[in-house]
Amino acid sequence: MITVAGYELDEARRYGAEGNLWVADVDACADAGAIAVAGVVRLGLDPLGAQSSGDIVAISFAAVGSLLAPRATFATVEEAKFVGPLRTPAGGRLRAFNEQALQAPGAINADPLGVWLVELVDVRATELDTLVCGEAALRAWFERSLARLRNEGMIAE
Amino acid sequence: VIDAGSVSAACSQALWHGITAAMAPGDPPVLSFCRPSAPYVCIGYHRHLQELDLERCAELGLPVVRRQIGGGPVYLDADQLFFALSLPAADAPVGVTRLYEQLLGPAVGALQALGVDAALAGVNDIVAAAREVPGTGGGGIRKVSGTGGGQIRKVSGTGGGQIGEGVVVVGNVMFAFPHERMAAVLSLPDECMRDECLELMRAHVGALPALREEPVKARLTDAYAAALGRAALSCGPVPREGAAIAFWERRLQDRAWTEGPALAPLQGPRQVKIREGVWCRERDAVARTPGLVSCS
Repeated sequence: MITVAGYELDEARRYGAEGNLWVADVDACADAGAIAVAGVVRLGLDPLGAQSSGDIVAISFAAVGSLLAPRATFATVEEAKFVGPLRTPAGGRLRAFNEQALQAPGAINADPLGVWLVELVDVRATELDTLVCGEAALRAWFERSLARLRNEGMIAE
Repeated sequence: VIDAGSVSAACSQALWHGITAAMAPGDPPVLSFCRPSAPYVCIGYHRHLQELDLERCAELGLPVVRRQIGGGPVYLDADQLFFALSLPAADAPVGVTRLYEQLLGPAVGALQALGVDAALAGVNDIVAAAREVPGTGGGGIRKVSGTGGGQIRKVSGTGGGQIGEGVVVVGNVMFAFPHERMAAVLSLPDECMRDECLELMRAHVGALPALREEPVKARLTDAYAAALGRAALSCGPVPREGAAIAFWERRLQDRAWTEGPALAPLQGPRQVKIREGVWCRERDAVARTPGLVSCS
């Protein structure tokens, strides 16, 4: 784990620059009980994504088996009567969603790195390669994201 | 500005779903108006149909329509004017609190210009200080000066969402509101909770019977035009908006859509949100009914 501006990030994961989502190989997840399968990743909100989403009161997921293109909606979240999409930074087939997130969506806000949202299979390595990874790139990108969100008033100074 | 007038239940929702879904980056914002020609019940995207008494809805001839924005079940009818502001997602205020503040602020201002002591309460309820107007069944609100000692009542239900590349904030202006009908369509564990809901709705949800549709639309149009720094231009849907509206009209009447997404099971005591900060909870109904040990 590394800390950037007070936020903890797992430098072993990749991050979608646009939606503040993390992407991790299944066998790299902290709670990995699943069998590691090549091309299987888990997606979740990074700490900034969770914070800027507000208090998530409900989440629903695209159907298991759905073939998702990059930027396709894999989940829909609700905060304060506002419903919005979460979009995958990489394409793939939705293999599973996290029942814990469905049952207790507040856990996403409480532990964004620990609560995965969906598993995708058949993810192209070339798409994963476009995501932010590596400590130096991660620090630079996260600080830019934080500055942008502060500038937009979403995150307090 | 697209004013669809009086339209079917499904179209009253499809109108702004379609306009928002058809939004592309760089498009101008669209303010749309309509009134449903017939009553129906509308439920938020993440809510269970079991929250509704579907048999009672059927008996009353009320279709159930699921919307792709948030919030709970609501009773809608021709005594309500719907307004919706749709704009490209990239142009929408970032963050839900700011979004509601900036996109509902003009609606609050429009109501104030019409003499209603309106304010935004919580994140997204539009409320007004209330004093009962004779002959309105206790649900009417008229102009009050300052707080006037009047009770605060919700006079406009609102919600929002992102559909495709567009963001929408939707609200209604209630010229009348049948509290009994709203309470009747809810699935509740017992009649004492229904009575409690009804009592709370009468106390906390009001209507604006003194207002008329055309001045409300004119003021809303002026307020949004000023807030967005644009001149209002009245027109009909462009072809891609029309196609999207037609798509949503079909979708909103599709049984699978109405069933909704897979959700976590309902848990705990039944509770109904009346307005921001006011809830009717199953145990409250029991606790507040003298002599009642258990209703359910």
